[in-house]
Amino acid sequence: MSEKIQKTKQEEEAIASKILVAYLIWSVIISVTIIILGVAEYLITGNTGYGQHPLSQLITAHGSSANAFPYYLGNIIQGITQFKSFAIIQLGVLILLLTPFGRIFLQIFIFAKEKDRAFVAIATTVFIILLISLYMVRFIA
Amino acid sequence: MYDPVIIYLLLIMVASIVAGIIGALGGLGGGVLIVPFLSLYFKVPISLAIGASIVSVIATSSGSAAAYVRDKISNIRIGTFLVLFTTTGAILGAFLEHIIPERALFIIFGLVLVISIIPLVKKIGEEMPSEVKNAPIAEKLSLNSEYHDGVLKKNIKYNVTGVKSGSAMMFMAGVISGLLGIGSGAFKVLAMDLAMKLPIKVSTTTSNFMIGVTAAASAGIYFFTGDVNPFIAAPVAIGVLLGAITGTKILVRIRSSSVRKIFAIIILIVGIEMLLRGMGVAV
Repeated sequence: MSEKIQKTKQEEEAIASKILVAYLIWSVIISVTIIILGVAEYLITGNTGYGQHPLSQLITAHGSSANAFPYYLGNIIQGITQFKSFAIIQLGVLILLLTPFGRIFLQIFIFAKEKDRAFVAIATTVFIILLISLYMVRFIA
Repeated sequence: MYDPVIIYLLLIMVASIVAGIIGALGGLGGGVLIVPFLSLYFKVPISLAIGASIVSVIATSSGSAAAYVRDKISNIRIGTFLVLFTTTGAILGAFLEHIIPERALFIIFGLVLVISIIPLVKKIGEEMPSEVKNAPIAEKLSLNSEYHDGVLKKNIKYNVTGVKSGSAMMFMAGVISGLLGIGSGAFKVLAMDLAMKLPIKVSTTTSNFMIGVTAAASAGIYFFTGDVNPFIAAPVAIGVLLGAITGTKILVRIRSSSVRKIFAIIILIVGIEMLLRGMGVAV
């Protein structure tokens, strides 16, 4: 009997790790593909979509001081609808930066499936802390 | 043919590949390498270098995570439990940024790192920690586990001690992370290695998981305030991902004692870098 429980527990863990690995691999592939598409468009057309800038300006441009690239959601989406290369890169980077959010979110369900109440609570708390950090952007920006 | 833009992008990418390899091996995000590299040699302003560093930290973490989850080396339970403290610390750090002078912090943490070289060097040749007893809370949360070591070709069972002091160190690591915009993976590995006595491969791979989540707690702030410049972030992201994936392949094949040596060297470099910055020497 206990052997059987042991086996199903191992199977569950194997499925959980497969889901997690698939999520990680695909989020990395999707974000990097989008970034590469943006870079390719930029290199081929030589157009950032946000005006002509010499190299010295490209590497020192800050989002808030120069209009050299978009950095908030509305701006990025608008830029993508116009196929602007730097908007496409930013979308890829943003997806990459958000992968840990999805990972913790998945982890909550994996712990729940394993009926591990203590860790469901721990992972949920971590997820809430991450959401609070996003909310704090308002106060710092 | 020799377009400066393309050369610039390629050079950043090559440097990022190196940072990704070292990051995946040592359990850090490579931010400690990326920031001085970009600001020293490429004249990138420090705020943008830190923005790129956040991208590098999460890319290392996500790029190596798939391999480490599949190989079951990283301990997700320990990692999830400890990121409670690092993320809380990170948020506090973001607030503290306005109160404590940055240079004082650099000196304090630089000193801590350099001093922590001593216990690391003492056990530099050690392959595995010996005779560790589970702490009561580790027992309760079943943090102890096992992994298959590809070099020793056997399963390594390990216990977990020092959960309280480890958690306190994680909180401090989180504060630094929020303050300086780095993954502070060096401090995390140190806490797991010295306080909690985990096998070094478990420490570095679990740290790899944790730096991503910790950095995510400040990534939104950096991205949505315009610190992430796509011209720099793109080659960093691509390079670091390539490097991290390569790093994971190396980790399963090298001895734990070698990982420990690499880590000790990184700690020394980072410690000196922080001290120099604290003393006002531009790094």
